[in-house]
Amino acid sequence: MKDRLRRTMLYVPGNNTGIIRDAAIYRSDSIMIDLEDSVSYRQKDAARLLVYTSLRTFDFEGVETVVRINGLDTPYGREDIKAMVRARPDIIRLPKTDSAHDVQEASRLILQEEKKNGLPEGSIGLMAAIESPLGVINAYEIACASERLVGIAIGAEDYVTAMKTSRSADGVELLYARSAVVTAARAAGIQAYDTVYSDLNNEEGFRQEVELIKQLGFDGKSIISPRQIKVVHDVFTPSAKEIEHAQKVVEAIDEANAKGSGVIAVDGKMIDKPIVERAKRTLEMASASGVLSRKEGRYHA
Amino acid sequence: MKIIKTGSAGTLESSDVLITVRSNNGRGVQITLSSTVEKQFGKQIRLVVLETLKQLDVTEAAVDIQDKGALDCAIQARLIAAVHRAAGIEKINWEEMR
Amino acid sequence: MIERWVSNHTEETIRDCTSVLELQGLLWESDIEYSVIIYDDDERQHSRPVATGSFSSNVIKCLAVHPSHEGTGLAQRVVTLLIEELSEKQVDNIFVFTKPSNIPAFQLLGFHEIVTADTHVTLMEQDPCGISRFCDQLHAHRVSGEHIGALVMNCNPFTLGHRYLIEQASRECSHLFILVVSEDRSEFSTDERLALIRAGVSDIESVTVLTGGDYVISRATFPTYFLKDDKLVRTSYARIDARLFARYLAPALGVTTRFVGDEPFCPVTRDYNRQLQEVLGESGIEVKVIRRLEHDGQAISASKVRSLFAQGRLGEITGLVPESTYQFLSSPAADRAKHKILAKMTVKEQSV
Repeated sequence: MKDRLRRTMLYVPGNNTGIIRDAAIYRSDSIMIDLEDSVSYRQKDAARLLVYTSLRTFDFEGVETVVRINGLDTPYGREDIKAMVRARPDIIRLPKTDSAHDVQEASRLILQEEKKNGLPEGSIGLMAAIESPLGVINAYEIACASERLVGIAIGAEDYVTAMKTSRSADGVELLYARSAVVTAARAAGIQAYDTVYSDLNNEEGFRQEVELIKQLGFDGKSIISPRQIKVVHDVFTPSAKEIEHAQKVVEAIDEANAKGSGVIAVDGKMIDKPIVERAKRTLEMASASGVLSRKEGRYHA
Repeated sequence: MKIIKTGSAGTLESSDVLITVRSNNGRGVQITLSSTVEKQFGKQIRLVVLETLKQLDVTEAAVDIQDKGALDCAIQARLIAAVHRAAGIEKINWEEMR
Repeated sequence: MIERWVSNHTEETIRDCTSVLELQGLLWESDIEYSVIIYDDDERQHSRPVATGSFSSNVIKCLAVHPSHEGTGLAQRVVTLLIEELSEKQVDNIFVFTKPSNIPAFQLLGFHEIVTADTHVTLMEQDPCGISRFCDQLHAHRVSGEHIGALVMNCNPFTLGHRYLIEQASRECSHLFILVVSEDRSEFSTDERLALIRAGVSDIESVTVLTGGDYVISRATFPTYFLKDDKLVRTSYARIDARLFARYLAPALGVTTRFVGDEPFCPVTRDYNRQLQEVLGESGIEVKVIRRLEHDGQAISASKVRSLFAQGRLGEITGLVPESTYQFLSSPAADRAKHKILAKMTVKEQSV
């Protein structure tokens, strides 16, 4: 679960029957069904029930299901956990995480419900969204707070408001936050996800942002429309050249291991562990993007 | 569960259903249904509603359904929400949910 | 299209609504609590309102679409938003006033026609059994007899003038039903008024006091009755209330005669009586006008009683109300109503 591909996480409002029903069709890597900001407080109970019955009924055909619950400091968070653990999404996502305590508390409650429902401990994963300056500062301790945590995300809207600024095209106001979150995630050995891009009519601007966050090291991005899926998958898909190189690396290592030899070189460069890791990741990404198929333990174009 | 006031849940959007539950003055369960797919699914919808009411132990209610093509799981979710609102009960008993 | 939800009206938003309402010959109503306005934003500089709908309490009304946008589903969109807002308020039933031509559209939204007046106005409700359930409740009070009368009263508060009307009416029928207006917009609450009426007629036989619920001069059936809007009473509303009475309530109770007091003061009520006579006449129900009781050469006015009461001039009330009402007015229980009356009175009125 921790290393699963999460390039795209499609945001699905939790009180909308039609959208929930069709969400998996678009083949994003994950869908995030929201019980928080997209649901008015008067419909929290109805949305919770709708997501509950939907998760228990629909087959999401391999698309990962994430539910964003309400914060534990709201009247709804605890009830969300009770219902959602029973509904068994793959992951529960916490909003507005400011400290390790938030994560630990949530994990504890989830454990309680897993036990109550006879589910294996840890069967439901956790994601934490950092949406405040304090959360950014505490990013590393948040990222280390629980075994359940598969990744942390940056939520820009609330953060930028708290920072007393606004979002801009080049996103300079998010530079520190993004860097902090992805660094913390890597240091803790988990994934990092970027925030949504709201302007659906600006495809160029969107692509630029996706390229930026990929370069920063993010594993994926939240998206608000199926139209955004392709761009993200394209950007995250390795180029033919990258794939070719990666294949060479992997083959060279396999050969070296078979022969029992030590240090090897590919294209004049020394191959050490990080390079092998990167190569494997490239091939996995390529496979997930459909440009490569995996047969008999080897990658084939 | 006893119906003490009017409770409704859902919307009139396509694929959804608006369910209103009212007290029926001790005259058992009464269902009024208006559906965009009445012919094909009217019977099925009524069955789902009756079954769910039974599970919730509701023996007296006037249930009005405005269906815009909702699937069974949406009908159930909206009905359970409306019943709890009409019974003035905030806490759902998740253990007893199907 | 821009959608705007207004729960606190300003001059500007009211103007936006009325600009569309006028095009359909409708007027703004001052008790509106919430409105939806849809703007056409094609011209970037100046978005103009092209559709609007509102509600007051649980009654949807003042619906209009710009002629240029008719048939484009805007009316449905407006009403869907209003219904969603009302559903969140968890009301028991939703009523709607609309043009008869909109009946099919509203049926798709879950409404059922109750009554139509002329070609102008239709009253519909969301509860499929609303009116029939109310009639069943009324039916339980039926009595046998040749002449069954009905009197619709507000009694704010119950005066000797009201008592006189009831006495006169009950003399002319074997049983009299008093239907009490149940809107809580009068200074004395529905419960208070009911109690005073019951106390005031306890000695008269063959009289049954009932509440009118949502279906007798309520804001559902007769919204402008309570409004001090400086406009003429809309005849259509009066006819809706009258027709509803004729088609549903009278048959449920077996009423053969509707009594009304003649109305020297209030043009709203006068006009209503006129409509009543016309509409009920069509259904074979007799309408009898009873001359009001005079005291010191003047018909007894409940508003005069309220005014004197609020000013503490109880001595001057004794000739106007029965003992039971007087007792109540002199008790602390009447304080709540007193404050309400004072709040409504202007300084000028207070010194009269």
